[in-house]
Amino acid sequence: MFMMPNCKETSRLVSASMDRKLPFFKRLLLRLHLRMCKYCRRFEQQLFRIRAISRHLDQHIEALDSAITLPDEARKRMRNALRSQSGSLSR
Amino acid sequence: MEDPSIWVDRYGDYLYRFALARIHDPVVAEDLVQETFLAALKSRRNFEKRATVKTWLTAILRHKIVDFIRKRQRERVIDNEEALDRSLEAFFNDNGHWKIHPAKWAHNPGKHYEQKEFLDILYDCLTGLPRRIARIFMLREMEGLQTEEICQQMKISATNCWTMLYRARSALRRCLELNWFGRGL
Repeated sequence: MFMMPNCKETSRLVSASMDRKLPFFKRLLLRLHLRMCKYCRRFEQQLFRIRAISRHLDQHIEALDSAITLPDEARKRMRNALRSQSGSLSR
Repeated sequence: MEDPSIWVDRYGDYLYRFALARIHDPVVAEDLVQETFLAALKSRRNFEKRATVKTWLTAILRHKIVDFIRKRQRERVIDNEEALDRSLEAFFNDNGHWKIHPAKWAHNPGKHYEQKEFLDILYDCLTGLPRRIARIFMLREMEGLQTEEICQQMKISATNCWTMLYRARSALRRCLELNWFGRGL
């Protein structure tokens, strides 16, 4: 009934524990597995690092965004298109 | 109304960013912006003075984006979420043990000077994920929403949501390992 989860199941439990409170026994089994398995321990630490740094992603994307401009070539092309279209419209 | 010839300089960057944030393809974004300008030129008489030119142009662009996404969805039958699932399965062998071990991360992204570069890579990794999965990750980890709120917004079950968050985190972890931490290995 309370079998020790394998690494694959543990990796799921690690992620699940970040989104909801796990039932007592699952939590216990997760902790037991993590104590014994350094790879799953690493997996857990790394997910938490990703979480911590993701909080800064918003500002980062904003900063990237403001650096984006329409390429000059496209700008030129659009101006020409507008000019030729407005010429044919007013005719 | 102002002369259409100044639209490009006045609103071009803004519209381009607007399109790029939703389409993630510079060439398509350019095309949609150009189409927007031309469509606006043709329907100049319908422009209602209540709106600013910027909101008017943005509304036209938004329509173009929605059309484009609809068309693309019809074309793309197979979703790449399945492919992601398969590639994550490959981390474990048949009895559920790690086949590809999580590597020791040589750098600590907590350090300030490394943070910017790390965020660049994280962002790249995120945009490489299937769109829906990336969206859910952003709602959870950037906007800090609870699972229930995400379920409502995305119209999915809680179980489905947890599974997708698991996939997102696993895939991001691997992508970061290869592109950032892997440098020290």
